[in-house]
Amino acid sequence: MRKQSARTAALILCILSYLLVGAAVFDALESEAERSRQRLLARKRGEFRRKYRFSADDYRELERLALQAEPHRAGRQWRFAGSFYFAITVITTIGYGHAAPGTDSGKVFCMFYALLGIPLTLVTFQSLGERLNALVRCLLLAAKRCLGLRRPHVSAENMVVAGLLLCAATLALGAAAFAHFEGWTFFHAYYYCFITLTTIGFGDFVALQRDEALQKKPPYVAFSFLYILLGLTVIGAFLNLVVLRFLASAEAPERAALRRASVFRRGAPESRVRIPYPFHPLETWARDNPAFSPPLSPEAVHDCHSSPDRLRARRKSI
Amino acid sequence: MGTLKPWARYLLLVMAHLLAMGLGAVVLQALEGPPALHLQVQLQAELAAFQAEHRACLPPEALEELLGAVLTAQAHGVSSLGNGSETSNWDLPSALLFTASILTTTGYGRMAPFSSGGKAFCVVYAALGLPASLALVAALRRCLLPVFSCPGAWVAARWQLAPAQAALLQAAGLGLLVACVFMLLPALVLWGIQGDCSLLEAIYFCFGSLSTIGLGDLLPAQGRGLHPAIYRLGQFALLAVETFSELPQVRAVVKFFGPSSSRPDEDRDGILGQDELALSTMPPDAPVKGQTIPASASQQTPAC
Repeated sequence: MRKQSARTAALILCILSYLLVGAAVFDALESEAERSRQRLLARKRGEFRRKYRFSADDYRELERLALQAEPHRAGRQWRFAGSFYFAITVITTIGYGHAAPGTDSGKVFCMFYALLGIPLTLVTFQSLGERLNALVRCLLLAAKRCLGLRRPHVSAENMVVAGLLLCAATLALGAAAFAHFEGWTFFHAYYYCFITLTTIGFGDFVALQRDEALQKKPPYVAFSFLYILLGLTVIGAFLNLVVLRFLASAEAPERAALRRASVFRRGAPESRVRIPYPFHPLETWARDNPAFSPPLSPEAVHDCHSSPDRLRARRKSI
Repeated sequence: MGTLKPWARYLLLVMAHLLAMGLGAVVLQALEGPPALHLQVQLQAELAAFQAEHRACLPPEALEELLGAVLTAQAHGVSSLGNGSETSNWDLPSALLFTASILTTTGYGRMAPFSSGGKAFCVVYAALGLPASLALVAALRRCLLPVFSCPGAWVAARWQLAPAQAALLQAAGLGLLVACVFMLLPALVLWGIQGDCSLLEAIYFCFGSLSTIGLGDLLPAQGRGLHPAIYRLGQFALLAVETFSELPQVRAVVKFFGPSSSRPDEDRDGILGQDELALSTMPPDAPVKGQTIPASASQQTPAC
C-alpha cells in the first residue's frame, strides 16, 4: 500500500511537470506567431478605416456582424445531417464547437443527452475495442502458424505493436481522405484526424464545413461519420491495451507478495477451511500472466510455460 | 446459439448506440433549427441595413475580404474586438490551461495552435500525454476504489442487500456526490462571480467541462473583477479534478453492463478480480470451490 501510494504520487508529479513543460513549449512556439498575426490584423484594420472612413462604433458593429456570421458560412447547421454531426461530437466528447445550442431548452437537452449518451458510448467503444483486440490476436496466431512456428504465442508486445501500427494506418488513411475532400495539406488533415480521434476537438479544423457539404455531399457525410466512429474504436482498443499493460506491470510485485502469503497459509493447520481464499489470487495471477505480465525473471518464464497446461487441466477437471 | 449470442448482443449495443444518436439528432434539429434560421434572417437584415447605410463608399468585395480576415483570425483566438490591449492568449497561464485541456481531451477550441511547429508539437504531446493521463486515472481509481467500497460493503452488510443492489446503490451515491460537489458547487461559484451569465449557463459550462465535451461556446470572460491568472488556475484545478471523478462512475456502468453484454474475457477477469465487490462474493462461491479442492490439490502436488 505504501509503495502503491508512492507510485501514484510519482505519477501525479510526472503529470504536473509534463503540463508545465508543455505550457512552456506552447508559450515559446505560439506567442510570436500570435503577435505577428495581431499586428497584421491591426494594420489591416487601420488601412480599412482610413480607406472608408469608418467611425469606431461602426467598425465595432461590423466586427460583431462578422463574428455572428461565422456559424452560418457552411450553410444551415441544424438540419438533420448537421444535428447528427453535432450529436456525434457530443456523445463522443469531441466537441468541436462549430455549432452549439443557442436556446435554453437546447442547452438543457444537451446536458441530459450527454449524461445518458456518454456512458453508453464509452461502454460500446470498450466492448468493440475488446472484440477488435480478440480479432487481432486471432489473426496474429494464424499468421504465426502459417509461418511455421512450432509453438505460436501472441505476447503483449506483439499486441501493442499491432495496435500501434493499426492506429498509424487509420490516421494516415483518414488524413489522405480528408486532404483530398477538404483541400487541406496532408499535415493539417493528419492534425485534424489526431485531434478528432483523441476526442480533444479544438474546432480549428472541422470537416464538412465547406461548400455546404452537409446538404450536398451525402456520401462524404456518411464517410466522415463512419470514419469518426470506427477510428474511435481503433484508438479505444489501443488505449485499452496500454492501460491494461500498465495495470498488469504495476501489480506484479504485489502478486508475488500475495503468492508468498498464500504459500504460508497453505502450511497452516486450518488449511482445509481457508484454501478457497488464497487459491483465488493464484488463479487470477496464473490466468493473467500469459496475456499481460511480461516475464521479469527465469522463474516467471518457467511459470509462463507451465500455466497453459494448468489452465487446460483445470478446464478438463471442471 | 452459444457463439451467436455475444455477437447478437454486440449488434444490439451498436444499434442502441446509433438509435440514441439518431434520436438526439432529431430532437436537436427540432429545438435549434427555427432559432438558428431566425438568427440568420436577422443577421442578413442587419447586414443589408449596414450596406444600405454605407453603400456609397463600401464595395461588397472589400466587405467580404475584411470578414474573411476577421473570421480567420477569430478561428485561432486572435481578435481585435474592443481595444487592442487585451492580454495575450499564449502567456503561461493560458498555455497551461491549453495543455490541461489537451490532456483531459476537453479542447475548448478558443485557443488552437496556428504555426506548423505548434501543431506538430501538439500531436506529439497528446500522443505521449494521453496514455500517461489514462494510466494516472487508472492508478487513482485503484487507490480510491477501496475507500469507496467500504461504505457500500458496510451498507450491504447492515441492510443485507444483494450484491447487485449494493453495486447500484454505490453507483447512485457516487453519481450524486459527483453531481453535487463537482457540478453544482462550481456552477454556483461561477454564477456568483460572473454576474452576466445565468445559472443555467454556468451549469452548462461546468457540465461541458466535466464531461470533456468542451464546445467552447461559453467561456468565462477575462479580467472581469478577478485576476485572470488566479481564475485560470482555478479552472485548471477543476479540469484536474474531473479526470478521476469520471472513471468510477463509468466503471460502475461498465460493471452493470458487463455480465449481461458479453462472456468474460481474460482482460475483464483480470479487472473484475481486483474489485472489492467481486471479493465480497467469495462466501457464496465457497461450496463450488470446495468441490474442486481435491482436483486442485492432486494437481498441485506433482508440480511441487
